[in-house]
Amino acid sequence: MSVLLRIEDLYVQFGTDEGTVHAVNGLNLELKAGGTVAIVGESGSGKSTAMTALMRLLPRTARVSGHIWFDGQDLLSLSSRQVRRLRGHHISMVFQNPMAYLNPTKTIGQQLMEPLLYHHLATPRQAQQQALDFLERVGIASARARFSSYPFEFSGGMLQRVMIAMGLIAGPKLLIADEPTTALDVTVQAEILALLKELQAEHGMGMVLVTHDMAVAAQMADEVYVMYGGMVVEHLPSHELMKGEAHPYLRGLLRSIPRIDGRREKLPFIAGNPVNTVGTLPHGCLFASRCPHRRNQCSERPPLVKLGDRHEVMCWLPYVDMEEDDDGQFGIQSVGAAGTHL
Amino acid sequence: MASLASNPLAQLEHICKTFPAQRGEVVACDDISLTVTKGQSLGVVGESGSGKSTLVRILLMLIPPTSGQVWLHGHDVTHLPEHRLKPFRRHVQFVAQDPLSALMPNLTVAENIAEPLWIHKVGDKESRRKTTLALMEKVGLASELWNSFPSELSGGQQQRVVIARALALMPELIVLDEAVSSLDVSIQAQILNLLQTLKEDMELTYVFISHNLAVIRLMCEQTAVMYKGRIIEFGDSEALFAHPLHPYTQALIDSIPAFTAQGVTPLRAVGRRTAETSGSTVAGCPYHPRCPLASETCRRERPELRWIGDRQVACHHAETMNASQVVSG
Repeated sequence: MSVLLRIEDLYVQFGTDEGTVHAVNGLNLELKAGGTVAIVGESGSGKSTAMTALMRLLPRTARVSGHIWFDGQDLLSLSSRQVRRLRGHHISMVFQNPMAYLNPTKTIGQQLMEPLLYHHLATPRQAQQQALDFLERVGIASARARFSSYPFEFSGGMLQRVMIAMGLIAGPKLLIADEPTTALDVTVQAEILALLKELQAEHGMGMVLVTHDMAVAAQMADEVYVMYGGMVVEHLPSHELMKGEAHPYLRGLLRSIPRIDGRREKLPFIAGNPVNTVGTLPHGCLFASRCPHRRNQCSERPPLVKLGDRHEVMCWLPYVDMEEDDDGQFGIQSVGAAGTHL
Repeated sequence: MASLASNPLAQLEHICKTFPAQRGEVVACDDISLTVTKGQSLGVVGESGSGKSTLVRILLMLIPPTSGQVWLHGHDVTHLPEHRLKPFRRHVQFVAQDPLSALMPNLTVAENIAEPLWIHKVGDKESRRKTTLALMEKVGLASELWNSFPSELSGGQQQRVVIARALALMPELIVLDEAVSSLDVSIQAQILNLLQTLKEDMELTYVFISHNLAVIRLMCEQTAVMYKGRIIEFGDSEALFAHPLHPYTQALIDSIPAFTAQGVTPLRAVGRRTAETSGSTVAGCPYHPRCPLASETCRRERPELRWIGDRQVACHHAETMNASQVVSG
């Protein structure tokens, strides 16, 4: 399948009074047409900043470099006018907090029709019909009555449905879903996630799901990018989660999630706090200060090591493991001296 | 007043709470009876609007119930005036969801932790200083943070301060309302471990409110599931999550994305809400519009909370649930 979105060496920095914030530090990502990738990470890992850069919604003060290829054009090199033609038409975004993104003074219907009218995709009459259809499609009962309601009359789950309808009404090729269910109850979350999956299949669009929930990422995505300190520390097929993950950060993170089955016991946890991206970043591995497997090598930034099909990790550990026990767990064929990869 | 046989820490008896609304009234809690005994931490789960927070506010004596009684240490505190309530307050402490808004921004870490000691006039200046230092150590805060302000700390550290403050008066019961929900995953595990250690060391009992079932299962011996202001299932946590007897509990468990021994749980949307239950009370079982087992009885008759083995459940079809699990499990 063709590649819909390719992010190459994306860097985003902000100048603040406390120093430069290194929000994204060399992100590489690829999404196939119709596929789903998830970006997971803790707060401050740069996942939302990267997606905001993609939508070209960052403030002017942000320093952005790299390339974001979408459909043959570099989004970062387009003029604002060209970007406006894409946004809401070919690329849409669903945000975490629908209440904050919907206009409280306009009816749901008015806002739902907006992408169609703005991009001249339909006449007002057609737009209204499509909007009504879409409201029903996303599971809002008595759509006609709800059409002229205001956002405050809707519950959180219903508003998120409206946001999804708004995102999809113009038939985008790419949907960015930034924590779409974090503010919702679990039962509603399941409904919204299932709805997103269904609509994605119907429209054949690509989706980037930003989440902090590993399990949601595993349920929804084909591939998962794990971010830490603005970098991808591991990229793996989602079915490898809990089985083949290699980075100590990801291993630690997965094991620290309380389980719904098995024994109830103390959770293994990652000591310390997430890396501070304000000021100069550490020279070596960003995770080194919290890593249980830290060794001398880690004062050098590790390379991205390919472990298998669509599986890469930014860590020295695969080399070390190969040296210590030759079980080939990470599938590296030739154990190169660490230095050759610098 | 005579204390009760098993000496419960807190007891809610037939609690009802209604709030006036534009059209009629909102029933937040509907005939809730709960007993919290020492060493039996209680988890309360349910979706937003199920009345969890109202229940907690009643238990914390912040609002009076419309009807029913609140007992603490064998005393009926339901209608006590504020000055007579104060001695009871020190036995029940609270940890809120958002630590930054729960702390006083203009007080240092040490002042925040020591504030309950001031309010309840415990010890002198020197002993308060010692207590505060000991508390900071206990929750894993470096003493260098003594003079820091809450806004200078990370989310995990802030939550440690809130926990230290809750421990200051040596309470027996701590109510935690979504205490780890706003924290990052790696920090969440640190705080959960701290809470578990404290629970063992200080013989604390928790009332733990969360929408995260795995957290409840980890922290609490007993679990109560709430739906629309009522308790619909209650029992031993492990048994309840392994074999739910109420279809709603089952739906909750099915809808959490979780890793199990078999990998991640599949995505399934349970009980899509076709009918909008617009606030008004539904006839029959409140869950029937979403329930896959709903029958004529469910639409007509409201199920009462009843015992099945050592579980309490409010469902006409609990036996069916039970039988199907025996067969399939």
